[in-house]
Amino acid sequence: MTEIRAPMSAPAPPQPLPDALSQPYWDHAAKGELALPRCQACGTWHALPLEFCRKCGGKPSFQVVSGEGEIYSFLIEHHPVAPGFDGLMPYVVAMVSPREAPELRLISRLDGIVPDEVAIGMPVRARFVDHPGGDFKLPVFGPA
Amino acid sequence: MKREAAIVGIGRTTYSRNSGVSTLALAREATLNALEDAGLAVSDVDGMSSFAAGNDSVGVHELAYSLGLDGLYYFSDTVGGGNVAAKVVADAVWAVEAGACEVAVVYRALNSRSGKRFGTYADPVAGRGGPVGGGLHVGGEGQFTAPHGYMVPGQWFAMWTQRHFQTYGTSNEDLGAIAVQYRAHAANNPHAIARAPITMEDYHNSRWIMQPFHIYDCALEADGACALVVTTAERARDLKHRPIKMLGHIAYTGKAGNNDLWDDMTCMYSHFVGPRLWDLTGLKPKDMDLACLYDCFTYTALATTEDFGFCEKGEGGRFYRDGRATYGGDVVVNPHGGLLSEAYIHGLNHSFEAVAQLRGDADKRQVKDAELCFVSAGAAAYGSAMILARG
Ligand SMILES: [Zn+2]
Repeated sequence: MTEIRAPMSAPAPPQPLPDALSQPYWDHAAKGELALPRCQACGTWHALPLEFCRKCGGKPSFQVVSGEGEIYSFLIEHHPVAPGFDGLMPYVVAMVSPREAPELRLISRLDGIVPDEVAIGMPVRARFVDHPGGDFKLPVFGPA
Repeated sequence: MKREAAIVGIGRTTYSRNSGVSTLALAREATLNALEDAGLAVSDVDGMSSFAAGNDSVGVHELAYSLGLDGLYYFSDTVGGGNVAAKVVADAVWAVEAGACEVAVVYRALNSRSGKRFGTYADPVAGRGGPVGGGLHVGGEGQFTAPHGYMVPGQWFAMWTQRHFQTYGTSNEDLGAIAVQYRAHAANNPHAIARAPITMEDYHNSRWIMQPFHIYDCALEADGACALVVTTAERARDLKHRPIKMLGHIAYTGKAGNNDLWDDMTCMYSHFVGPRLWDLTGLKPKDMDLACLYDCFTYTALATTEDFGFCEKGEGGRFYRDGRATYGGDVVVNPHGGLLSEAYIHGLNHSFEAVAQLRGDADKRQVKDAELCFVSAGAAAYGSAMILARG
């Protein structure tokens, strides 16, 4: 496992700052559930929590999904962009197309896959880890 | 009768890695140089247009005040990155044409190497946020991405590049051809920060930043400023230099400016801007003598070279490898070395180069008989392009 294990003295990685629209996402995450915004009127999935559905103007809310998906694109990060990632270099960030809404791309760090073996189309599955430096649980994708 | 506008002056500071002065000092110097180049006085200026990303520059009110001007009739501080670097020029041209002002200064000043760097998170790029309680707390869209270590522009474009690799079989050999070509051009530009030629081997051996990007795939963050002066075509007749005209400008912004939401990452904003600009002007890619294409990363240049129609889709790498983007080829792309080798003055230095070339003032790097120059600004989901012409 290459999870972030930050001792108390180590700098923490960036923490989410939830707002009224996004809070349910983090509440689901705390329970180990991946939830995505979906319009309750027309069924459209959305990449981000929106006040209004951009198809019909209806009200989206969060719906729990399987956490299964496949890699749409990825990068291998070699250069620290924020504190809290030094021990992970190089790390992979992927765009994941979730099974229920493949038109969306979820940004997630990959865990448990050797960077050089990551490929577009690779099936992956989310699991939840404690995010160092705060009280959040974060989905990371790994081998399906 | 409709007023016509012309670009009549250009000015800049030294481009460096550490200016040692404020963005106000940089903006003043570039502006005064541009006015002197035009043969106009500070007191002639009654309009200003600039842009900044996250308070990294000096606004038009402050610059005008600093120069002793008591007021402006046209003033525009655009919030944005390189995506607005051509639009700020077009805005000034339109302001003059509309009669809003007589003499407009367009400038961009930044200390992006010694000051706030784009590749760091001192001031969050993604969403609002900032240091809270000793850590970075990121809200907005960035709350879903920054905790994963995904928060700087190079990462967005790396994702896009990987899709082009997958779709067209593009590789680092193609990206490298662009880096090597622009660097070769920069060797003839005394203002370029990076003038030492590089080989494809150097490119492949250089360190990874965010794979598939090597260090040579990334723009050269720099300190500096450049400025342009726009006035009426009528007034331009009595000034020092041959006037340069804007034949058309088209901008596009997509998907709420969120680059992760774009549908087909093998195409950029240029896919939408290109056809409209050619339609608007009645010109074609093959009419262009040179092109200053926005190149924050090599992939931006590759994708937009294709989208604007300088070559077939998917052929961008070959276009550069076959020598079609340099002297003796189809069109000379970035004769100054671009953002990759001249400096990352956030794209306004492309307009400076376009004017210098169209006036015939580009010295050793002069494109012979340059009459038409394509200028683009921006990447991924948003940007614009314009065509400048010898007046
Ligand atoms: Zn709906």
